[in-house]
Amino acid sequence: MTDQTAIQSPSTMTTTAPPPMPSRSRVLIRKLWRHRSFRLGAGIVLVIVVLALLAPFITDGSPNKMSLRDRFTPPSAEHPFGTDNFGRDIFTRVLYGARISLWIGFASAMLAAAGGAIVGMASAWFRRLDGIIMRIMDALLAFPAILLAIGINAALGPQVTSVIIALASAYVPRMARIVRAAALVIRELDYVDAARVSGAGATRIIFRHILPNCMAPLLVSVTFVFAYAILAEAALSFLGIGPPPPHPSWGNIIAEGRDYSVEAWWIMLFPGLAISLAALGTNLLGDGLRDVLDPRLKMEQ
Amino acid sequence: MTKLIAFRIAQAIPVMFVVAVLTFLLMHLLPGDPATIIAGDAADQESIAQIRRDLGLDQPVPVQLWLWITNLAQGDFGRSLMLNQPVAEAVMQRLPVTLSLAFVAFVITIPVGIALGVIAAVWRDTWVDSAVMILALVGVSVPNFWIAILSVILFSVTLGWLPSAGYVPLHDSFSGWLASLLQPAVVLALFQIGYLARMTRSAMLEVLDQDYIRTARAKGVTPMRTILKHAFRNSLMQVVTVSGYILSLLIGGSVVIEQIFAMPGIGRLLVQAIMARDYPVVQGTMLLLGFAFVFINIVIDIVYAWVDPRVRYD
Repeated sequence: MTDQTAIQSPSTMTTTAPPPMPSRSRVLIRKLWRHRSFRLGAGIVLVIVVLALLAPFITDGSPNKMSLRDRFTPPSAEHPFGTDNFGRDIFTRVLYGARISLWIGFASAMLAAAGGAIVGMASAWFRRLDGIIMRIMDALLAFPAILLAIGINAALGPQVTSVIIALASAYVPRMARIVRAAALVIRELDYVDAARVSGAGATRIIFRHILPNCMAPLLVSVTFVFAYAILAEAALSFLGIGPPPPHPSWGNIIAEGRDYSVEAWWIMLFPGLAISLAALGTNLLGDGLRDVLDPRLKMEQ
Repeated sequence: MTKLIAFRIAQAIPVMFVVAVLTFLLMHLLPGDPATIIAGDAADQESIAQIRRDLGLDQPVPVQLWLWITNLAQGDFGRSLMLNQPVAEAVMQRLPVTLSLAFVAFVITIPVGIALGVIAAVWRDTWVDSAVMILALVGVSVPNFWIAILSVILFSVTLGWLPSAGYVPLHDSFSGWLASLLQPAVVLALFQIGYLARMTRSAMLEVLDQDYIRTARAKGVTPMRTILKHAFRNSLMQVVTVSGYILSLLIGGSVVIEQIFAMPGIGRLLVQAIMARDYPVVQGTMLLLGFAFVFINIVIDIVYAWVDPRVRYD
């Protein structure tokens, strides 16, 4: 993924949308729309986001409302996904779980992108810092992301915020490498020289000319990090170091249902399906973005 | 080649140093006071202070860091609080389990992932390609611990074919070892198989578009030979690059899988240590795994140079 998105021709990119939309972005949007897996992925993600946002209107109960009389009810008309060992409605919990899991995925992907943009840009611009920065990134990359997230999360304590910080820091080095590689190519291009000659300062060159043109590879990897983050959050919750238990995160519901996985399979089945669907949608969307934004793959079509 | 190996090892030393410093800093962000935890609830201020002195926690952080680094240089990774044994020893006892799991999963991943990727590329834009790519996509989207639970229900509980938990050491019985690893390893490999299949496919497609492939086809080289000898060999570079990443993902993933199959590996140790706030173990485990990956990356670089002679001169 990193190799393919690293080198990017600046001509295929959009800048931060100014009011008169450049025709290039319209062309891109049309291409994305014509891309089958992008359409499917975007559709899946959109449906999940809407369901998560509308959760209070779809179900009337609270995700943590217990009803000891209804313990272990199999899926039925009243409880479409059944109930758990406390009689809590799994459908409601999965819906509210979407809010937590999507938020963690989104926030950590955005934070990782922002961190990666800053670090990668600093590395590409201040050449003297490059060596040190990249050695630190190499050291962070020496840990598998999930392990780094476990370590950071163990240090910060079990909270939603620490899960976000942990996952984001685990993916910053990867993002930084992508931005650095793109920025190193772009800073040598003629139009950057032209901007410099016409008197643009470093800030202007970085923010107006280089960074916007690193957006495409960054955007592609943000979608993949979002998918990884959803899976990693579920794994962290499952290990008991995610958001603390009353939170109905998808990983937590599976962890709680694990002891009853044979007799009451529905407790763990549905949140797992939700995770898979969310990750699948995001991956499809990312594939589409990569195909459209990556000129090397475009040539093949 | 020797020069390259020496250079890579020299390059790894600062990285290992940074890994050590980062691990130290990470654990010193821990909100709890280890001395209070070790002393237990009933302890008075006096004994807590004593423990703090014994562990060197009363020293300023830079001094502690210096002690940590010098101890590491002498092979001292600290002492576990919950197990009352050296961290290095505790990790070494559990290392074979995690390595066996990752190794078997790796042995499954590489051929299956590559084969799927090559098949998809060769039959590109046909139903074969779509089917393989959908499978690969599912592989990278489904949480492996969830599949693990479902798999246990099917293969261990319902069908009774495979053990649902535990680990049989290799020197006890080979078949027992393999049987205990088969299910966790396959589950663990699913994500990486999907990932590798996708990588291999795009690497193959890139090569298949090259002029020399057209030349080979035009001069009448058989399709099989074109694909294996001309295309596959040249797409191998990307596969070697990701295989290190795959190994690292496998070892990271085994942390989760070990929990489900109750395997006494490093992952289980790490999670137990986090729960018990046994910070020397957390620190030591992270550090040893970090070093292991630095080492893996060196090996990958060397393999890379061996596969592509051009790399040696840059």
